[in-house]
Amino acid sequence: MSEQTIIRVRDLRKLFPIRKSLLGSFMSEEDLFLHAVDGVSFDIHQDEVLGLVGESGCGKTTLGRLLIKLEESTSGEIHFKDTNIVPLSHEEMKEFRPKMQIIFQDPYESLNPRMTVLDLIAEPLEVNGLVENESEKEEQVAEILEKVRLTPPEDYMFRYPHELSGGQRQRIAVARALVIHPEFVVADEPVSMLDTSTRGEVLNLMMDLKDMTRSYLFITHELAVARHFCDRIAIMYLGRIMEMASSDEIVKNPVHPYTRALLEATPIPNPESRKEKVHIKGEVVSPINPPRRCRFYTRCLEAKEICGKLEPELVDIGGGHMVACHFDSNRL
Amino acid sequence: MNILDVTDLKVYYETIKGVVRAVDGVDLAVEKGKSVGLAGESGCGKTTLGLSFLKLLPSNGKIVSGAMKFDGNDVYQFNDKQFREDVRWNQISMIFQGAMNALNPVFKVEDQIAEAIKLHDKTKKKRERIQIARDLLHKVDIDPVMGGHYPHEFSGGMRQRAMIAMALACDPQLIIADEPTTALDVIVQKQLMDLLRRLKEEMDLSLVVISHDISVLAELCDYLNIMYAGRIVEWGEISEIFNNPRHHYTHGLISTFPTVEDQERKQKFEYIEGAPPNLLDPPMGCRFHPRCPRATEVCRKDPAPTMQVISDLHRVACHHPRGDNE
Repeated sequence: MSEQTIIRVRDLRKLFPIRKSLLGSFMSEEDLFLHAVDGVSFDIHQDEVLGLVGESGCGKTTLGRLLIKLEESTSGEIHFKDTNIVPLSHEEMKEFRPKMQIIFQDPYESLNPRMTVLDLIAEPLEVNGLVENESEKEEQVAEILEKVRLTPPEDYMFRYPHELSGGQRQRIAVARALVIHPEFVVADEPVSMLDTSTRGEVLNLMMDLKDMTRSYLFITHELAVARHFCDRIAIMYLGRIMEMASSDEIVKNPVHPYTRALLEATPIPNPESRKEKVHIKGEVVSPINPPRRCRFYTRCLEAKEICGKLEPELVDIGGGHMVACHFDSNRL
Repeated sequence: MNILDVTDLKVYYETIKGVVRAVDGVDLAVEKGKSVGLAGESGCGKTTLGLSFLKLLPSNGKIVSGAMKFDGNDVYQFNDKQFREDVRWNQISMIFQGAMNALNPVFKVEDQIAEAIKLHDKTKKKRERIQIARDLLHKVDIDPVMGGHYPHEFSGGMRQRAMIAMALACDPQLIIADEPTTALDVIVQKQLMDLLRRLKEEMDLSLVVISHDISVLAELCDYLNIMYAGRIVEWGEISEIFNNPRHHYTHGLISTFPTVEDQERKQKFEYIEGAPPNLLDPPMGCRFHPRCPRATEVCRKDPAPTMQVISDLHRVACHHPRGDNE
């Protein structure tokens, strides 16, 4: 794996303001913010797939949207190769847009029902001025349809999304993202709406078409999918990364109590490996103005005094295995 | 002893495009105190099958043929009033799909549970009903005080627990759980599965668990039915099905499921070619034949394969079943 970095994120934050009640604003209550992404740093290397795993509401989708500037960051840096794109204007971003793409979760919502497959896939080519005329457009679309195995292309080009199955639609979404050869693709839960029997086909395609892009951020709530699809996995909880390591390391040698709880809770398709209770307590707390302490403090069975007072930093405990926990980082 | 015995059940929907044969000749049995899984892809008819156990089908859905014996009684012969009073909720209840959104937002949770009791058991007084509702909340690990609160004050997991409490309201013998954990986060899902398992033991319940997620069924069930395009294609004891699947569809479903347990990273993901058929016009013969790697001429022709006995605990409907431990 080449060590060239495509995406470098440093201390990234996204705070959504919460509207106060009228009375509250007269009484000058404390300003409330939902800390969706709250101080996140990581790199994505060339030809790498980084998995971002977490439960709903942990900020993983927001983080994905920040990286390609579908959402403005509150603070921090996102370097795309050598350029920090956070301060760039809408105009200045135009140069970078064709280099970054996104695959959305729901192929029933993300494809315009009034556009044909040809128009859907050609849209990014046209917007970015990559095709000169109709025949060139059809040629390029046919080529990518072959690649996503919707063949023969002539059979699919003039169809509408409602004529396609869920798996076929998501393959159109993949084609749409990759047709302009982006260097970085955010895939936000690309298979979670599909039946398990057809997921493999879409995942294989994304893998096979790696030569059309450079790197993926693969967002998912399913550790089992990330374990196989991703080179490295970052575990996110309430806006922070709790642990980050190679996918082998995460499943074989999990260190953070939250990662371990996630693994314990992940069901195994094998009746002989029914598991014991999950080691966790309580429920997810609110991400609105969270106190400065370990985000996992209220649910951790191993929490000590310091965990309630000081927020642990994400540190390397060896071999690139990063953990944000007061105890595990000391112990190892 | 079987608490539920369904034979040759056919449930069709009348639509403007024609007749959708959602359930097309299903036999299914539930042994008392056991948990039976029903697995299949979206659109295979598993929810329709679940709803027909309670006769809660949408108005265009008709039970065309078949018999259902519950506790020895042929309950499909009951009239609507009898069925409502003697069977629905008192004997068989349901945890609905998307239960998180099934609670009425403008009523207190305990009142909604009490209402279920009122509808199916007219003898109890209001105070008694509320008391039962609170006891039920306690049983599903919710502080009974929360009963006086509204659904929006509950987390997703708690709402799902409240729906389980509601299913238990009339002390039924059998509960149909339709995708009970779908849309929940894994940790909440795991806690709910533990709860269902515990309740089943404590209350000697029988369960039918409907899910597209075979890993959830592997955790919860004693037996498993695999459903494809309106029919049951394989039935068996749960380990038998997972360790030695005979139907090519079952094998496909299991092998396409990624697991965190694998030591090595997969280089390729397995998948089943094609998509399930449209039940307006299902294929002739074995309905899986267009997607099956081993389909031959006989599979493409009617009659469809019938259930073959492999052992006391395993049956399959396939002309060319996979071999022993293949």
